[in-house]
Amino acid sequence: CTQYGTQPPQVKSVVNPTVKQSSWEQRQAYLARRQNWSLGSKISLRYGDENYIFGLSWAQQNASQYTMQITHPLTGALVAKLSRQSGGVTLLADNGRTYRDTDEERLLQNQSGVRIPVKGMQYWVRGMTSPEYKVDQLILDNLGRPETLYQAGWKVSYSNYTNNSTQAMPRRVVLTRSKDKLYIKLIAKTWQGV
Amino acid sequence: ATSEARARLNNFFTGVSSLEGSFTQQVYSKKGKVIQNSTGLISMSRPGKFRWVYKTPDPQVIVGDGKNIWVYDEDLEQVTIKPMTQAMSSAPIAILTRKQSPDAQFVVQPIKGGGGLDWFQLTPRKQSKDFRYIEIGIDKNGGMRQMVMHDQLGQKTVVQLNARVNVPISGSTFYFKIPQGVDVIGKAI
Repeated sequence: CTQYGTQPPQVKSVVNPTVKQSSWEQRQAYLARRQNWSLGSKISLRYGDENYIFGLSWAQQNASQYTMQITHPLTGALVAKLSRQSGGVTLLADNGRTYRDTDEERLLQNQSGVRIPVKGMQYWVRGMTSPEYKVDQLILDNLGRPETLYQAGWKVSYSNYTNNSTQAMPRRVVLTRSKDKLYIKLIAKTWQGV
Repeated sequence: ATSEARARLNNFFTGVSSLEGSFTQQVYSKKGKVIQNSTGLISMSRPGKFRWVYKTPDPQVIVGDGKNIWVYDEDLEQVTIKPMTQAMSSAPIAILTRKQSPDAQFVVQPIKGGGGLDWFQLTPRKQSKDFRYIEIGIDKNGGMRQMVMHDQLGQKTVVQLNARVNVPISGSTFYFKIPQGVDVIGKAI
């Protein structure tokens, strides 16, 4: 019989693990080929009882080069800029001074006192596991996209994917590392090139 | 005319106990580039109470209940509670919630300005970390139509108000009810 444009009720079908696994592998391969993307987002970072809210626009040129602009949440004014180009990592801080290093996580920790998992986030924010660390645990949804993943001491949980495809991007990513009371909530507002 | 205009400014501070309407706001960088455009709604009840609702670009509700500032960021599903003293960085209107002569809080000077308004510069007597000074444009019947806040970073926040004064506003407007399931940061005093 023909469908009259009405969707059949969405029965939460139980997808067997091997199908989920192959969707996941397809997703990882698809996203691994697309290393030129950009993200407009808002972040709430809680460290102990301190809380910071800021905008983050992240432009990834290729697997190893990116520029991150950190902006004031209300005014949008540029607060800091972190970028990795061929020469290494540069941070233009809110005091106007520029700092350099070869490791962005060490550079940010030296300046802010907080170990932010920038290397892992390059993959985690797109709902991927990072090839640089062992995957301690990975829980997938029916379309082979991560609901929760554990890597490098971090728990990363996802919700609100942009659409119902295996390659969809997450809109809400929460990263927690209980060891040092760090809680990062990232709300993706715009995705490009993914 | 300036003394007549000054009387209108004084009356805005001492004779207006409530205000309600809409606003548009632009933030200019040090180099004069517009870095943010926003619109929203404003209610104020002196002393100390206001509700500043950003509709665009990001939905946010900022409520001053006289003791605390509640900042609800809908995108982040997060409510941050801060003491009233830190109000100004969230909503410039918080500068105007005292019901007393402007001279008590500011050094007041008439200045030139556009829009057919009478303009005054108000420099706080007590140095504030949130703003260097503000400029206020008063219209012919004593309404504040524009406020310009110059902050410590050299940025300028221009607010255009379209509001009625001394209208009855229910008290619940300045009570913030924490929505279901949001993260709450800070404690109310």
